[in-house]
Amino acid sequence: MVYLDNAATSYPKPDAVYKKWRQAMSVYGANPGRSGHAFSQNSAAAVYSARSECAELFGAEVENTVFTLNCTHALNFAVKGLAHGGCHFVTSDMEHNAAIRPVYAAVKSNNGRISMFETSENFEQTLSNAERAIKPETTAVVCCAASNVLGLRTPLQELFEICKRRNVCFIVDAAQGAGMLPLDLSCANIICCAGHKGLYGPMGTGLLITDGKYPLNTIIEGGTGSASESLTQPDFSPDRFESGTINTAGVIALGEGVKFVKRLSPQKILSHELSLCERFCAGARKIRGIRLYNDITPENREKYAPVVSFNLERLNSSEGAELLSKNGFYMRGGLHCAPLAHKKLGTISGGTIRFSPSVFNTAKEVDMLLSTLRKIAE
Amino acid sequence: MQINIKSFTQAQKALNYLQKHGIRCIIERRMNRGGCGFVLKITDSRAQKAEVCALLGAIGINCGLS
Repeated sequence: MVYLDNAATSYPKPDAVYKKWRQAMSVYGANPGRSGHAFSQNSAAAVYSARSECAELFGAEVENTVFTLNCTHALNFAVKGLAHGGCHFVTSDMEHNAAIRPVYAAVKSNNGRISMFETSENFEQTLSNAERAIKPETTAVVCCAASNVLGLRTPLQELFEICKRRNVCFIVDAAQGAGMLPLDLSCANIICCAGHKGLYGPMGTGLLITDGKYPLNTIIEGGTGSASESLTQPDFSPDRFESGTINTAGVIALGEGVKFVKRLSPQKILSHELSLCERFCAGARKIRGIRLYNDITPENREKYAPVVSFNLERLNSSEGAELLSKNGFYMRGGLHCAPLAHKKLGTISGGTIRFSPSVFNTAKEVDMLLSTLRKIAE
Repeated sequence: MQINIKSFTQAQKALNYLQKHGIRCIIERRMNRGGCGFVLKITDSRAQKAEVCALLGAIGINCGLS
């Protein structure tokens, strides 16, 4: 089996993550931050340690590093936490439903407005389009670090400079960037990401990272183990956003995933994965019957995250992905929850097959895939 | 010397920081004015109130001594 669906969730995880998760399930079995006994305090200290690892990766304060269930959960906190009557959100034409649906819901329930800007491989053009969409009344710009369909990156640093100049909050959906792209609070006010993709943690983990400059209203309230006399939610983070018991074993294991990423370095991970994408594109380009929707080359790699979309010309993406699965290659077919990107590509009816390697994939595996594709497509 | 702290995260941050500066302390969960909360108990008898408060102020923690 060759797993190449890492944009959905990374697999396998580093050995240390499995080990830590198993250890956490037994050693850190008490509810963190809820009781005074040593068993609970040890759990809370382990959660704090994981939180510190995550905070450091993104250049955040530990208090402003909130554990969520996934990236979608974090994006809901960020978008709906900022929404108000007549709010205005700016997003791109590459957004995942994780970002676009909360924006639509927030706009609908607040009688607000949404503006969408067009992205392109020409970053100057993307920035100019984004700047034009920002108005004096804009609440926030919500934008992915990289498209989960085409891998096309957003020039985050430059867009953040525009947002700062215009006094607008910049929220980054880093589902496809965290752990690979240069991404910290120097390029966004709020970073939302999954814990189970590029950070190599378990599923059911995510992060909401903020610089604290834009206070967020809550979208879920409940027990936090703190300020419990009050009938309203605490005003201090992370408790304000962590109602109910967190995925303790999951976040402790996520801390180990983040340590793994730091040890290897996001730059090296990105370089390895982009090299695999280049190898795949170079091979797939020569196969008759394959259509590539993005072509990563040594010349344009700076503009991409490691995701390639393609199709087998005779089949729709589900059929193609199924055939590849039968041959031992696990990739996702369909719209990847990003209908806007597919509308732009002209693949809204058939979707695409997505090649998304992780740090554990090898050049040999890419060659095996290309050999299989040659047999199937030609 | 005890310092009331609202969240475990802040308490652990304070503990780590003080220990880094050679001041021993422990975290205890306590009922306080706001209901459930935490206290940082300074177990180092040599630690001075002003010194502890200055250190905590440097990491954004208000020193509500009790």
